[in-house]
Amino acid sequence: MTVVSGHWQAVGGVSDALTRGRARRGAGTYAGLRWAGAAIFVALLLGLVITVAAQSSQAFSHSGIGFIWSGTWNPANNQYGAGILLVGTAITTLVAMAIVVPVGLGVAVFLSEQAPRWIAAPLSSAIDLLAAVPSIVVGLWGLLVLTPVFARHVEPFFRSFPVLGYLFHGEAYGPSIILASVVLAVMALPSVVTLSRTALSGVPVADREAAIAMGATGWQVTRKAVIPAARSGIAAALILAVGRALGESIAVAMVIGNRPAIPHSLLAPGATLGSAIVNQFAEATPGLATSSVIALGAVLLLLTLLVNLGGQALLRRRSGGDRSPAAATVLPRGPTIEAEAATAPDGAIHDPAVGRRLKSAVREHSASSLGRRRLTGNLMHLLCWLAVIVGVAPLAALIYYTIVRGAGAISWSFLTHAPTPSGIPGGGIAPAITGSAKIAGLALAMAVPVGLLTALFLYEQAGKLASGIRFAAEVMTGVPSIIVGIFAYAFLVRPLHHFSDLAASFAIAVLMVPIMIRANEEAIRTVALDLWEAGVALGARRSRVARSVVLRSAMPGVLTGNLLALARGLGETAPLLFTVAAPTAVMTLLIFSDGTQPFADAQRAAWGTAFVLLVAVLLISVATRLIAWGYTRNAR
Amino acid sequence: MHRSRIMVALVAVGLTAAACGSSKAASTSTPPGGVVNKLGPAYDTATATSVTLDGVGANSIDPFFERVFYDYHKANPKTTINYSPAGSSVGISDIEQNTVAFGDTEIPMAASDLAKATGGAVLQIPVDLGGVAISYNVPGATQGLRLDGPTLAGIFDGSITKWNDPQIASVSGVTNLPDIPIIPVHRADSSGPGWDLDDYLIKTSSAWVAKVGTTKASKTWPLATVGIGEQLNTGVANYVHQTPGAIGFVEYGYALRAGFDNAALKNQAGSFVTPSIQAITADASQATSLSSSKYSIINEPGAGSYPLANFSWTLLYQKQTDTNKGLAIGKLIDYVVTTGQADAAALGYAPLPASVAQLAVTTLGQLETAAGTPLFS
Repeated sequence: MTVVSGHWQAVGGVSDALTRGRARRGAGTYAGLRWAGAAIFVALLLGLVITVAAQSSQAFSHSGIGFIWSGTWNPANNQYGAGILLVGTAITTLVAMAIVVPVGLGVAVFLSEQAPRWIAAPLSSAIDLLAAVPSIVVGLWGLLVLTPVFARHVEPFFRSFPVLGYLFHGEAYGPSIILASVVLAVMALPSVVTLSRTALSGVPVADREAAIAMGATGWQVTRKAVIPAARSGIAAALILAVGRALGESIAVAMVIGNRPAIPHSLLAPGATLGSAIVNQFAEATPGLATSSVIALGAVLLLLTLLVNLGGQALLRRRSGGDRSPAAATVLPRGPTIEAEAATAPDGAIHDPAVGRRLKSAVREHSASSLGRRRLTGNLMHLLCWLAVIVGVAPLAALIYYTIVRGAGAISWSFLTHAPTPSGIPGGGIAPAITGSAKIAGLALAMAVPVGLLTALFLYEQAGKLASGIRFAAEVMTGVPSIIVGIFAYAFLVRPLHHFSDLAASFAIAVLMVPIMIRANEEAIRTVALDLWEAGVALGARRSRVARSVVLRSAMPGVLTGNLLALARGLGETAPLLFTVAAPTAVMTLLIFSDGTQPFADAQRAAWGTAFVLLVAVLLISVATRLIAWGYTRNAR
Repeated sequence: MHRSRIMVALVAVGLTAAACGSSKAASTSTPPGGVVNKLGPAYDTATATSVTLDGVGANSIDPFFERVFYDYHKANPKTTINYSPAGSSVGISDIEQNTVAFGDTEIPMAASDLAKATGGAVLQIPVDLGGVAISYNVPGATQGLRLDGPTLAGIFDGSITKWNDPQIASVSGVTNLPDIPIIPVHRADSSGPGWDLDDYLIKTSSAWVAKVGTTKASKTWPLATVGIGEQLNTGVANYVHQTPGAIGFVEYGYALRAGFDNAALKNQAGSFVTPSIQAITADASQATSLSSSKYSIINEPGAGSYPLANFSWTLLYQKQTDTNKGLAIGKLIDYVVTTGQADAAALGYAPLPASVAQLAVTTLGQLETAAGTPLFS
C-alpha cells in the first residue's frame, strides 16, 4: 500500500500533463525510439554471431563439423580440434557445479530459512556485495595464494584418501583441473547464494505456515514447501553459474596448467575452450590458426546457447508465457496470481501442487516418525552450517588477502603516478585508474539508451518478436566475454587500424546491454499494471505513460540494474586483451600482467590495483543498495 | 649492392664522428659500439606536436623496452609510447593488420608473414640481444646444474621425471639432487624463447626430433601435453619461483631479476656455459652476416658462447602514412638501438654489437613518407 501513493503521484503527473495540452507531438517518436533501441540490440547480436561464424568458417571448412569433437589441439603441427578442450570445459564446469550446488544452496537455505536475523542480515548483504567481485581478482588470488597451497597441502591431502584418492592420483603440480574448478566455484558462489536466497525468501509466508500447521518439521517446511516453490529462481541462478563457469577464460588460464590433453586425474593440468582462446589468440592475422581459435569461440558460443536453451525450456515448463501489458490485460500474471491462488484469504489451498506437496508431508507425519524427521532436520541444519563454513571461508580469505596485501601497496603516489620501469621506485597506477573509469563510463553512455529503450520495447510489445528478443537478451547475458572481445577486435580495431578506448568501451557496452535489458524489464514489470492502465485510461500517450508513470516508478530498479552492469563492466578483463593498447592502461589488465610476475614489487602493484578495483566495485554496489533503500523510504 | 654502399657511408661518418669525439648535436651522438646516429633532419621533439605510439609484441624484450621508453619519454615528453608485451606473434599479426605503430618479435617475419602485411613493405630492425635461461627451483641444489641437449630433451619430453635421475647426475656432475618429481614448464602461448629452445633441442637431440616429428623449430611449444603451460615469460617465471621441482625456460632478463638458478648449457664446442651478458655476446659475435632472414644465433661455435641467444626485431612499415608519427617512431627506435643500449646490461640484455646496430640504423634510414620520399636524409 505504501508504494502506491508514490504511483498515484505519478499518475497525477499524467493528468497534469493532459490538462496542459493534448498535442500529439512526439507520439511516433517514442515508438521510433523503442524500435531503434531494439534494432540496435538485434544488430549487435547479429554482428557478434556473424563475426564469429564468418571468422571461424575457414576452420570448419578445413576440418568439417568434426572440428567440434576432433581430439587433437596442437597448433605447432597445425592440428586443430575442440574435442579435448570441450572435455576440459565440461569437467571443470561439472566439478565447479558439484561444489557450488550443495554449498551455494546450503548457504542460501541457511540464510533464508535457518539463521537468526543478526547473522542472516549482515551475511546476506556481504555475500550480495561479493557477487560483484571481478573474476580477475579471484584469478589473482587463485594464482598467488591458492596455487602454492594446493601444490603443497590440498592436492596431497585429497590424494591420500583411500578410494576418493583415485580421482586425485598423480603429481601435485598446483595448477590443475581441481584448482581451476575451485576458482570457478568461488567465482560463481556469491551470485548463486544471492539469487537462490532471494528466490527462497520470496516464497509467501502463508505457504510455510500451511506446512507448519500440518505438522511439518522445520526442515520439512523448507524441503516440501519452500524449495519447490523457489525452484525456478534457483534453477535460473544455477544456469547463470554454469554459463559463467563455461565461459570464464583468463582466470582459468592462470590456474589450470594449460595442458591440452584428456586429464587422467583431477590433479592433472588441463585446458578449456576459454583458456585455449586466451593462450592462442595471438595470431589475429586471417588464416587457419586464427580461424581455428575463433572456431573455439564458436563452439563455446554454441555450448552456452545450448545450456541456456535447456535451462529456459526447464523454466518455461514451470511458469507462464507472455508478460507484456498488452497480453497481461487479458492473461493472469504468473507468479502473483499463483501465490494468491495458493494462499486464498480463507486459508484453503487452491494450488493443487502445493496441496500435493503438503499432503505427502502429512502422510509422513501420520507415521510415527517424528524422531526420525527431527533427526533429519538436525542433520540438514548441521549440513547447512557446514556449507556456510565451506562457502564463506574461501570468500573471506579472498577478501582478506586482497585487503591485507592490497592496502599495504596503497599510497598517494601509487594512486597518482604513472608506472615506472622495473628498478625505478615510485611508480603508480594512475593511468589504469583513469583508463578504467573512462572506458567504463563511455561504455555506460553507449549501453544505457539501448538497454532502456529495448526494455521499453519489450514492455510495450507483445508477440513473438518481443519474446524472441527477450530470450536473446537472456542468452546474451551468458555469452563469454572473450567472444565479445573477438567481436570488438574484428569490428572496430582491425578496420580503424588502432587499439582504442572506443573499441574497449564498445566491447564492454555489448556485455552491459543484455544485463541492463533484463534488469530494466524486471524493474518496469514490478510497476503495477493498474498504474499503466490508469495512465492509458486517462488518455495519455504511451510515451507519456512510459516516462511519467512507468519509468518514474521503476527508477530504483532501473538505476540498480544499470549500476550493477557498470560494476560488471569495470571488472571485465578478457575483451580488453583485444582492444586496449597497453596493459598499464586499465586496472583489470594491469592485475593480470603484474600479478603473473614473480617479482615482489609487481605483485604488490597487482594486489594494490585489485584492492582499488574491489573498493570501486563495492562502492558501486553499496550505492545501488542505498538508492534502492532511499526510494523505498521515500515511497513510505 | 645499394645497401652495402649506404653502410660504407655510415661507417665513414661514424669514424669521423668518433674521431671528433662525442657531439651534443641532436642528430649525432656516440652510442656504445661506435655507431653513429645518422638519422636526420633534426626532429625537434620540443616543438613537435604530441604523438602517441602504440606498440605490441615480444614479452621477452619488455623490461628493456619499458626502461628505454621511460627514459625517452622523460627526455621527449611529447612522445608517449604504449607497449603491450602480449607476445611475438601478436606483434607480427598486429603489424600485418596495421593496427599498431610498431611491432616487435623475437623471430623475424618470414616471407609468408610479410606477404600478409596490409600496409606494404615491412622493415625489420634488430633492437636487442637477449638470451633464454633454463631456470630451475630445486631445493638443496647448491652446486650449479649442467645440462646438455639430450638431457634437457628428456626432461621436456617427460622421459626423465625425477631430479635424482642418473642421467642428470652424470651430465651435471651433481649427485645429491633430491628424489622429487621434475615439473617442466613451457609457454602456453607461442613464443620466441620456445622457438629458441626447440631449435637448440632439434640441433642437439635426435630423440627430441623423433618425438616432435620435425626439424623445423616452432614458436608454439611442440610438446604441450607434458608438464605445465604458463602464459608469457612472467607466467613461467612465476611458476618456477613458487614451485619446488619446477624447471622452465625464461628470457634471461627475467631470470636475472628473479634471482633464479640457471643451468649451464652444453654449447657446440662442448663446454658448459651459464647465461651471462658476456656469454650471450660471445654467441652473437659468431653470427657475421645477420639479416632478418638469417637470424638464428642458436648454438653458435666458440667455447664461451651461451647457446640460447637471440635478437629481438622491431617491425615498422616502410611507408609511414602519418609523417609526424613516422619521424617520431624513427627517432625513437634510433634511440633504442644506439643511446638506449646503455640501459641493456643492467637489465640482462647484451648491448647490440656494432655491426648489428649499424644494420639497425641503415634499415631505419629506409623509412619513407606516404609519397615515397625518405623521412630521414
